[in-house]
Amino acid sequence: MGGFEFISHTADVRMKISGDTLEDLFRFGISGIAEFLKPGFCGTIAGKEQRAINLSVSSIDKTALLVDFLSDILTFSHTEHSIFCSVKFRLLTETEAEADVFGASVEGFDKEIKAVTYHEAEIKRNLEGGKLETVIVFDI
Amino acid sequence: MDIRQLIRVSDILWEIPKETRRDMRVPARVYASDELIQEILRDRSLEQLINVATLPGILGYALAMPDMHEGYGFPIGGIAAFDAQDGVISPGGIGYDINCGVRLLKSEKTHNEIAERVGRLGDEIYKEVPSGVGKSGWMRLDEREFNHVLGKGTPRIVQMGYGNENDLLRVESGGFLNDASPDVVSKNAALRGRDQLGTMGAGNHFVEVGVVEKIFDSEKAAELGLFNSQVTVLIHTGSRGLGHQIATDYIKTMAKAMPKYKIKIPDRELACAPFNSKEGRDYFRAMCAAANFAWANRQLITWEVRKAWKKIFGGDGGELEIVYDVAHNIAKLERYSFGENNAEKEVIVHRKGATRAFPGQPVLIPGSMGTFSYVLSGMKESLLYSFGSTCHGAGRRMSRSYAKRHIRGEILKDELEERGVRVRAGSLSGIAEEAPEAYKDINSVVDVVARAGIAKKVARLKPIAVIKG
Repeated sequence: MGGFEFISHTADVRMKISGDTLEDLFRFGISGIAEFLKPGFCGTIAGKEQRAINLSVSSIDKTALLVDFLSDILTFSHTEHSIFCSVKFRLLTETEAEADVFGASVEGFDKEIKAVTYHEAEIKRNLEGGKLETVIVFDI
Repeated sequence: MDIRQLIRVSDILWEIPKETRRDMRVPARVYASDELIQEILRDRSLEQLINVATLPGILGYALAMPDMHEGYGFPIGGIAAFDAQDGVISPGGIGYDINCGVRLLKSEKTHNEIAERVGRLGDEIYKEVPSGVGKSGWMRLDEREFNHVLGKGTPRIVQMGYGNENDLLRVESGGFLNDASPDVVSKNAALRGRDQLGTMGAGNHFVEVGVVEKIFDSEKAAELGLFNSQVTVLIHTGSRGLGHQIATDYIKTMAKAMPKYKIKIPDRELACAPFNSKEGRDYFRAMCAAANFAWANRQLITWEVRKAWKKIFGGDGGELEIVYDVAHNIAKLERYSFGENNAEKEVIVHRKGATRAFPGQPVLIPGSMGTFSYVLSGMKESLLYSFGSTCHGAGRRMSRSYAKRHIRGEILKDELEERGVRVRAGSLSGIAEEAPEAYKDINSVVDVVARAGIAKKVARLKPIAVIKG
């Protein structure tokens, strides 16, 4: 189905996401951010999410949309003092996303992400397995 | 990139000709020794410098200092100047941590006079200066007061009672940029920054107690009030979540705006807009607000460090005075001469991991944890060669994850303590990530800028206590 993994980068953190669909990339991206900020947290709140935010993002292409969406997730993580773990889309095209994102409050994060960057981000279909994939670099 | 694509201009200067790539508008130049250029070639920072050379309105050269390494869009250690009339401004040329910078404090004491209390001083600073991931400060400001800080930076913090008038004389730009406008700072950016004044953050930010270990220029050192074995305090931090969010907001805004200005870029993180556009001016004003926040932050941390100092040494400790405070992620409007007629133009100089080095101006270059830091003085050649700029530090050469896998934080801490460097840190893995071997050699970096005539060495500082998040 796909997933996320963290790989080495000189100054910061690279997260590789892959999935069968565009929606998968968004889901795994959200999970990846949550896992970086507070490892294991989403497992502890599964089914018990108390926070919900509504996101509406439009961008010039699907890669920018993914980065901008994850960037908004990060912003709300900071401003709402929460970790967001799951998402329900009302609309997802290559240039627009509207979704409800669910999570829970936290006292603090274990690690910091300053920003979700566009660096190295480019959604492409993997020639081997046919999955969609991209790298997302976090400025930490 | 291959070294054969570089032209050696001198022992410490390399050029990438404009003809290297069709879309380059100017050549690129890198200040580096033979050894440092080999390190630089290991990542993609030179390709990034070539990309910078393609941006509209760039003048002279796309420049890089010997501590350069791969960043987002612009390389870190990069300097570029754009025509203020018809050139662009690009948040990637400043960085996410707007006005990340360094402040040096000097004491009246020598190392011998305080040696027995260094450990307690480190503990007290660790207690007074909030540090660590997302850590909040103690200062609570309402929206009106917060906007006042965004507008006026250091002077506002001094006015509130957290400093003195002399402090303002020793900070780059007097500790604030007048073009700041809180109106163009998003609500989210303000929310991220509102409770972070007076906090250090984490990562490579620190407060470091040091000792003047060597004086290179006794006249300039005396002018700055520095003497051998003098105890100093170095503060390295920036605009925290506020700056990060402003950069994020405006990179997104500019990415959407570029088609209407018919701007195409080779890297999304080079998103830019004409400086004279609404987007360009709004970003500049927001960047100035973030810069003011960072200067206010370093002023409040100065107050916290002075408080810790007084607690440990009482009246006998004397005062901690500011030597200088520099920004190393910022854009400034400055004037330089170009062409055969030496026509003067106003330009927007982008310094990303680079420090202003105007003639006679103190320049502070922090080394990596446990290594030397330097006080330099800008030379007039910097105005000719590097848009009044020099390096900013040691530059990373090893990934954080590699450092954490190969270096044990507790062992490193013990080694540093054996060498006489007390470490107070919130995280052992954070120490490992910041190990000296993860960075280039600061002595080599500073040697290059001194040989280039951009900045001269004044003093070298040795750490005796490091306080980190």
